[in-house]
Amino acid sequence: MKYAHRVTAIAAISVALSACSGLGVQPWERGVLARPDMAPNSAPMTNALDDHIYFSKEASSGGRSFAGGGCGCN
Amino acid sequence: MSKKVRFTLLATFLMSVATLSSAADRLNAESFDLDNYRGKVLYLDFWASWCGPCRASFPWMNDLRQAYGEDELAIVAINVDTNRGQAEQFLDEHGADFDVVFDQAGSLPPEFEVMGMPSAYLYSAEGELLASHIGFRQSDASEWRHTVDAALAGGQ
Repeated sequence: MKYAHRVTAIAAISVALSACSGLGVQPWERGVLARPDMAPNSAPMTNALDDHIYFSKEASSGGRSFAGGGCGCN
Repeated sequence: MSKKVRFTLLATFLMSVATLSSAADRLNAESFDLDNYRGKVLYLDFWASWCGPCRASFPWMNDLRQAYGEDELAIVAINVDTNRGQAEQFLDEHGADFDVVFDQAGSLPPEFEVMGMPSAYLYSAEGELLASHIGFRQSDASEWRHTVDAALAGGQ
């Protein structure tokens, strides 16, 4: 019984240590990822509009950048 | 049988023989064996229909086929599409005057340790790996052509 527990514990630790190392997409398996609708920028017009709205709202604090602000003081 | 009919039959036969002799093979992964290409330089390419640079490499490989006869250079393109229909469509659009192996299960890439798409390997007539490269850029195309030329000239 003790032996069984030890084996179980070692197996559990091994699985935990290997984590997700066995996962991942191989270069020849990227067919789905290569589809145009899987691109982060699959809708450029929507992205551009979202970006414009975001920048307009946040312009007084520098929009997307940290440097400077909308006060014209630097 | 009239002379005209006999001539037509003979012409048809000769044309089909010519077509068969120049037709590139379409194989399955199970029937692919590197040893079958011993005795000639082998250019082995892994490609997929969804891979952009692969599209650019096909005219280059067709040019290579035009430049060298089948008895001195073997060109084999291993397709790794899971959907064979998409691969066939790609071949219809881009043409391939060389052997194509369909490996839908993806069993061959691990054997060759493919690290990216497309990947190409150049083997000598003795089956020795001479060179390999990942990706296909037009800027590297002429350099690669020199490598293949050198292998065929026995200079590598």
